[in-house]
Amino acid sequence: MLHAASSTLGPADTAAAPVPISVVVLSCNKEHSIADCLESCRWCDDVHLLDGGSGDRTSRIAHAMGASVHYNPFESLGQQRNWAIDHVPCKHPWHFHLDAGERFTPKLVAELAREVGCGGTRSAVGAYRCPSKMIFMGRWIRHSSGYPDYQVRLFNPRHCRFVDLDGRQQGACAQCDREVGTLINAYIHYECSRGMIDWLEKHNHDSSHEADEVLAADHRGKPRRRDLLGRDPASTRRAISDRGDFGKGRGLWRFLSLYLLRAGFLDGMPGFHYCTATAMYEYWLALKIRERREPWTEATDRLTADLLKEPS
Amino acid sequence: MSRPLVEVLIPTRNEAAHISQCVTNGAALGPVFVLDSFSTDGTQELARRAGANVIEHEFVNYSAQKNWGLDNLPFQGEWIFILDADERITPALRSEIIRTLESNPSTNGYFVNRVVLFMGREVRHGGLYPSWNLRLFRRGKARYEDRAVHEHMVCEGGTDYLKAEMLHIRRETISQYLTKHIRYADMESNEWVKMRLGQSNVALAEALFRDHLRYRQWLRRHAWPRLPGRPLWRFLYMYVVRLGFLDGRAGWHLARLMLCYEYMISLLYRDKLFRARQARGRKMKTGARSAPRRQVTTQ
Repeated sequence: MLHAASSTLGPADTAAAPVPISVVVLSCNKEHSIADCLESCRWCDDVHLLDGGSGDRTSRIAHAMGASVHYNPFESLGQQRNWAIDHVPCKHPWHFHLDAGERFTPKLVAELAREVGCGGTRSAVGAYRCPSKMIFMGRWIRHSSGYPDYQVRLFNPRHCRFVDLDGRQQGACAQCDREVGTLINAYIHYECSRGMIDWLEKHNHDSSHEADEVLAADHRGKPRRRDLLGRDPASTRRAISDRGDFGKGRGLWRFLSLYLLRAGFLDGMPGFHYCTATAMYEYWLALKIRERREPWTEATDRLTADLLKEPS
Repeated sequence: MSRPLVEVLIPTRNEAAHISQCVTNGAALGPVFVLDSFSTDGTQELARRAGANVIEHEFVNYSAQKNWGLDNLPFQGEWIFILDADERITPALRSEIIRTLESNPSTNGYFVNRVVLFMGREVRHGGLYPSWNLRLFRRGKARYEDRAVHEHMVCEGGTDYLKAEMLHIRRETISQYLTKHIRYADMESNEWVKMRLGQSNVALAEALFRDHLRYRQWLRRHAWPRLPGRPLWRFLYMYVVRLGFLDGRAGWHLARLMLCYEYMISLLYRDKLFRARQARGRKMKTGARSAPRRQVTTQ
């Protein structure tokens, strides 16, 4: 499945003027998908891989495919993105950040060329929000995944930096001192490119992490109503989980809201499974939160001691 | 020195959380042998400090490991009790064992009932109880069947049942619990994919009503994986039919975790089947595409 041997990266059509965008691929242990990802970057003449400490062949594959490889141990997404801005020697004025599980589409590349290509730059814009199409079990989950799910991925590094969402590892939001434009065409995001087992393990890990965060929020106190009704979906979701009111039936509510309110039933069988799997994640999260709030292993230990007590 | 009445065998691997207590618990019954398969978390040291005789042996599978222990450990007594690291012998069980064995029985093996402790509660429903296991037997009279998983003991001569119970302590974190379930679900779904892609079920269906065993096998292998809403049925069986609801929240969560487990098998199964078909389709598509091209060149 490797395209490594084929050729080095470079603009597919050398006659066209290169789009003034440098692509930075952020990845860690993604040897199974990095080749396909870089393959979709062939339109670009300046591709970098920022490795967060892979133990596998990710950087070797990227190097063989002609990307320049940089290394910075991953701490958080915001920190990693800022490190890329500061230290990766990109030659173009615009940067596009892509993950290993994501792909460019020809339509998006054409739009990028229109927007920031030769003389097309609108000077007031410092960053672009880009929609993403999430693929789950081979199908675009249009409804329940919250499409367009905008992310700031294309930006001018002089006007844009990233901050972590309240100490979260995997969430970063962009801060731009100019206008933020919106792109129409989406990049592709594979939700489980290495198979469902990967998805399950990742979400087991993530739910533990999120449960720890919710517990930390216990000490911060109740969130304000303003956060609950705010426009930023990430902070709303966070405020909801901070309130902790969803302890009972959390998974069921999540399923119903995704499948019925967001019309997940229109996404076919993969859509159904996406909603159910997400509901399962919510159940794991709720259970882990409870586990942390009321340590029932201690109760089990007490019961054990009780049952093993020698008759006097 | 007189021979001990009964000795305890504890097979382990990375059981640091349990081993000290378990050895102490077993030592109250008789001398303890810990058969460890190269733990990396200090299990051996803890076991030794608690007073056990520790022997190392490489793990192949559960039954092979325990059979090796039964054959090779320097047992002196006549009876052996096999105890897992997360199990405990209650005082009532201990006195019942001693009382029974001292009466010189003609029986060669005893089944012991086991109760699960989860979320601070004894779990007595949901199909998890009673759970009879042959754990106490005359040395040389019983062995594990040679099977990778779900191993059973086979015992020569008569067997009997003890009244008192032992405890099975489920104190792992939810995260550890899920990690284990994900691994099992992966293995199980691999089996399903193999059955689906490898075997034609027409022949099996023909053979269906010829004998009962085949029928049950067919049910388990072909009907059960295809039953719509299978995870939900499993949940209802555990929680309603087997009265899991009587165990309070422990029963509720055990049933729901079982629902998650069954659902994970389904997810993994569908995903693997989808990928296998996609790979096959890709092969066929590239074949179809190259054929007309060749025609063009010949024209």
